[in-house]
Amino acid sequence: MINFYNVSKSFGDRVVLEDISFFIPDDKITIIMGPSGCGKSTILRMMIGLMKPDCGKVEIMGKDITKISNKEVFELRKNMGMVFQAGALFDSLKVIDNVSFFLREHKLKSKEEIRALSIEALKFVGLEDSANLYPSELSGGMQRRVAIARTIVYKPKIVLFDEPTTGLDPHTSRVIEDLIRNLREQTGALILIVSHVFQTAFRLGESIIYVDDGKILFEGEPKDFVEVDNSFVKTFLGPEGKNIFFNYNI
Amino acid sequence: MKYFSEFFSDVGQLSYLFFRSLIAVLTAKFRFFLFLDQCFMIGVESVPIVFITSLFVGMVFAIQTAREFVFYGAGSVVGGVVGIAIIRELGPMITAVVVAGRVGSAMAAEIGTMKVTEQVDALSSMSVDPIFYLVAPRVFACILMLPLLTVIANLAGVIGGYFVAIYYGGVIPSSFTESIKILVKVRDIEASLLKAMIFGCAISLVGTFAGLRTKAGARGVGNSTMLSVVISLILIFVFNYFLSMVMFPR
Repeated sequence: MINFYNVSKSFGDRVVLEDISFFIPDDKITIIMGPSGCGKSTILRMMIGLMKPDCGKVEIMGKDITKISNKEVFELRKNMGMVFQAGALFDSLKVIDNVSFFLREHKLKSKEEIRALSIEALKFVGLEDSANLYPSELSGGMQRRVAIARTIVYKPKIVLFDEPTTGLDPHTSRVIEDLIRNLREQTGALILIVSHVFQTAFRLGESIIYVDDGKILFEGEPKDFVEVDNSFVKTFLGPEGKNIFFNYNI
Repeated sequence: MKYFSEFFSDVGQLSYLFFRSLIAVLTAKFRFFLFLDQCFMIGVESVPIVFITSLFVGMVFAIQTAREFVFYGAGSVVGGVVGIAIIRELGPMITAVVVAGRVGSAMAAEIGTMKVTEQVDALSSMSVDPIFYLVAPRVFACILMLPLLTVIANLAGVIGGYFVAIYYGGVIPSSFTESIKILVKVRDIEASLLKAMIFGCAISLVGTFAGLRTKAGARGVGNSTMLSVVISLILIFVFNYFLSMVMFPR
């Protein structure tokens, strides 16, 4: 469903991505890993059409998102959901209004149906009691769970997560990871996660793409990733080296 | 050269915002409830400050004119002079300056914060055009509310001028009102309202544009807010000069 062909992207003189190509399998949870500033989030933003590559082709559900009109991009996005790093909840709206936002804006259901679906989505993330709170009244972890509810309420075929567990405590990270796994099992949606957190990558990842120095240095299964003989990967893994996989893949 | 290209790029983007906002209205993608919400914030909530500032400007203007005019035997035209000055120039100007400081800055800060917290991207990712959702309701609320506020400013200014001219300057009450009737034309009121509409359009476009191009966190939001007020004020004064030249030829 997602293919990148020879994509490059620079910001001024800084080359972030250099001629990268990969495809994301539909049947696996894929993790894009790499150090901060390596272009992971740029890849996600290109996928959802928030950013255009300098050259190359980004194919989403068979359509090159760099070539189609704005109107078509907006139509395509209705099949996609993105959970932003800090949630990006609309702070002027209550939790329930955040969750029902997509359905309400696109007038896809009746008022009663929208409310029921929103409550169902909030139940999925365990926050049905917080429906009438504002985002500022929630903790960081709760905000991310609401962001997940806001995305899954319209049942997108592709769900993109930008650093879903970064900055969260281990328990909350595990809650989020379980939610993502359940989401995959219950909806069968393509799940793509951008993260530099090992535990998230190794607990959830069925396929890993490692990006560093503007290039893709690894594509494959997590257990093979720790065996890669590459200085960038070794630096990224740190002193724990290959043990890191066994430490986190619990 | 760089500044020239940036200037024309900004003008181009402002025009784009305006025309996209116009499309939102014409294609029924206009969020009427957001528009009403903005009308309340821009219009109703600005009434006290517009009333008070205009009242005192009218009073000050009368202090400076009434005594001198009476001294030179022209006390009978004080009302007309105050009326013309307030309606043609001071009313729309004061209203625009107050709204630029109160509302334009708030627009830039609110949208700027949404930008840096990825809320604007979240809107786009859910197939909601940020221009239709954030810009269009603000622009058209401002275009509608500025003339209404200007009517209040004009009334307050003339009322303030009336009391000072009579109780401080010694002008006869009936001559004050008579000279307004004789000297102030319907065309002056039309010009006043048209100026207000143009100022409203400029303030809202600059405020939303500054918000949408916000970068770099809290400092960026501060810069955008400051920039929106500075540019709006400059535009108000420059536009006012040229509009007066066109609307009130010799």
